Amino acid sequence: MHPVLQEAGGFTLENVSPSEYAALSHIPSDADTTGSPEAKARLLPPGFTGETATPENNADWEEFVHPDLEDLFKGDLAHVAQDLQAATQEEDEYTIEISSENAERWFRALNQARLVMHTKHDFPDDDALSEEEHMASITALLQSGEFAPYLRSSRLYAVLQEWIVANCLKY
Amino acid sequence: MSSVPEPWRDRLRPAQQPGTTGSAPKNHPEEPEPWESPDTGTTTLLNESEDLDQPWQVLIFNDPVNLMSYVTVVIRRIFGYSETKARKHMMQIHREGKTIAWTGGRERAEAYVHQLQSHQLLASLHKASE
Repeated sequence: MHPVLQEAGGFTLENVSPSEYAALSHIPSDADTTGSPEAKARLLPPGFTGETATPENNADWEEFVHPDLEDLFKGDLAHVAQDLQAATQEEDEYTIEISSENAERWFRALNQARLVMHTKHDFPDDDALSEEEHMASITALLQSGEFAPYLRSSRLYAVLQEWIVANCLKY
Repeated sequence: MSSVPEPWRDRLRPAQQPGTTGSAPKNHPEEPEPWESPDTGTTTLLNESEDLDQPWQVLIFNDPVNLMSYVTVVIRRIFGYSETKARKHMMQIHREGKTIAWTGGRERAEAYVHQLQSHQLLASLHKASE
């Protein structure tokens, strides 16, 4: 997979292999919080902490902020799904066009997927482990089979995210 | 672009709608404390002046997923901080688990937390005295 920045501000994912396309196609399902209240809570966290985290304040936040966040995040996934469906295939490679308007939506969708997978599958926390512990944990996860596909997807998503931050996101 | 629920939109300054991505409010670091900001709307200024005795803090917490480069971009975008100041906050989050990104009136603090959560950062507000 080779991301290419376009003059208009969007980007094109060129030379996307079938396995990479398959992984990207799982972004919406990877971001699905169904069956995981913890993952949903990570995407829709409370707005207040400490003594100000009263039931009234928390209820207001859930009523007025969470629906807005949910709409935003669902919209991101829908746009990503549309871009994936519109991908062109030539021989064994796919090309995916992402407009400048959708570049940040792609970033958030990839982030959603990583946040949900990390929460659902309890991936190792890079910050809390030493390098050796981290590698041992990653190796164990990859060998376990069950979570290996998620871990590989998460790494692929993170690489693409880094590229989007460096090339597309404006402050 | 996301929309802001009506009850919240009424409480925000026009250029400060959470969830926007391209025209985020700029609370430049060189400005005086937020409640003294000269570009604050009249209504908001009056409301925020009621909070002067008890300023609120916007906290951003560490999480193992959000990229450091992204956290820096988001802090710059939302608060209008310089690259250096944004990176300082990001590193404090990374090393100490959290940072106080902003202190001021409740309404703007709520708007900032809303924006930060729209960018999928772990953020919340609380009273500065806590």
